[in-house]
Amino acid sequence: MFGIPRKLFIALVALLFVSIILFISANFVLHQASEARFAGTLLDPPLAVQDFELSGANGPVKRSDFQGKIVVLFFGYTSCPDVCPTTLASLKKALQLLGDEAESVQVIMVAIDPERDTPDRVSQYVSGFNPSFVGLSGTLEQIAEVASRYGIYYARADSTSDGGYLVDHTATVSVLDREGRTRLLWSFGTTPEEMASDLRRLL
Amino acid sequence: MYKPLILGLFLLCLALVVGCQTSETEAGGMQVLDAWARPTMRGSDQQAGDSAGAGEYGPSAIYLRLKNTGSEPERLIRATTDVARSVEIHESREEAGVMRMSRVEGIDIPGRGEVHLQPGGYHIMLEGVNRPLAPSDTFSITLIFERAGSLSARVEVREP
Repeated sequence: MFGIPRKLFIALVALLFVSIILFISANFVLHQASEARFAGTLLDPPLAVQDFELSGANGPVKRSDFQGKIVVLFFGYTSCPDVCPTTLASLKKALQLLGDEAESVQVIMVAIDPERDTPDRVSQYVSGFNPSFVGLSGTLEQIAEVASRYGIYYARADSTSDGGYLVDHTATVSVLDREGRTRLLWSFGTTPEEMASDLRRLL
Repeated sequence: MYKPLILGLFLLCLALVVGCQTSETEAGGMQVLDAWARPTMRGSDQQAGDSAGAGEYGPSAIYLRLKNTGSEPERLIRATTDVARSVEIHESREEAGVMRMSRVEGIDIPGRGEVHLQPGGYHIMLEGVNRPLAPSDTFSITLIFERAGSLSARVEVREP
C-alpha cells in the first residue's frame, strides 16, 4: 500500500492510537490536578503564630477561643468603602456555599483603624454581613502587634473631603487550621467559590 | 387575521423600549449601565474622632459601566447624589498585596470605549450617607462629564 510495508503501516496506526489515548489521559490527569490545587497560597508546613487577645463586643477574645475551628482572619476598617466590604461579602457567600459545614468556620475581622473602630462598632459592622462573624479591636499597640505577627501592613492614607481618612492595608486573608496555625493565604479578588472549595478541603 | 401578530409585535417593541430605559441612561453618546451600590453596614453613629455626624450611616460605593458610543474621548469629572454628604471618585490599586485607595480627578473613557467601575478598582465613594441603604432600595445619581454635561442614573442597592 503506497509502497509502505504493511507491518510499518499497522505500527504507525497503532502509534497514532496510543498517542491519542496518552494525550486524552494526560489532559484528564492535568485537569484533576488543577482541581486539587488550592486557590490560595498554601503554607506547608503551616506557620505557628503566637496567640493574641483583643477586645470584642462582649469582652476579651483570644484566637485560642476558636481552637478546633478553621479561623478566617482578615484585617480591615469599617469606613472602608470598597476593599473590606468586597472581601466580607465574598466570605459571607463562601460560608453560604459551605452550608452546614460553615459551622466549623469562624470569620474574624481585626480593626486596623482602632481610633475610629471600637469593638462595638467593628462587631456591629461585621455582623451586618453574617451574624456569626466576629469583629475585634484594641489599643493602637495591640493592633500593631497582632498585625505585624500576621505580616499585615497598614498606614493612614488620603484624607477625604468629608474630614475622614482612608487606610492603606494588606488585603490578604489568612486561613488558620484547627490548631490556630496559618495554613492558607487568599489574595484580594479570591472568589467565594474558590474560598468555599479551599475551606472544604481544609475541613 | 394579522391583528394578534401585530399586537404581539407592538407589545414586544414596547417591552424592549421600556426594558432599555430602565437598564441604562444615555446623554451625548455616554451611557451609564448596571449602576449599583453596596448596602450600608453601620448603624447611625457618632463617635470621638469620627467624621460621621449624627444620623449618618457607614460608607458605600457605587459601581457602574460607562460606555462611550461617540468617537470622541470623554471624561467623568464629578458625581452628586442626595443620599450622601460627600461623593468622590476613587480608585483602589493593589501594590505588592497592599490595597491603596486614592481620590482621582476624573476617569477617561476613550471614544467607542467602555470603563468598568468595579470592586477593587474605580468606584464612586459615598461618605456621610444620610439614610440606611438596604438591598433593593434605589436612588438617583448625577454624573458630570466634560463634554456630555450631566447625566442622571438610577442606582440599585444590592450585595455584590
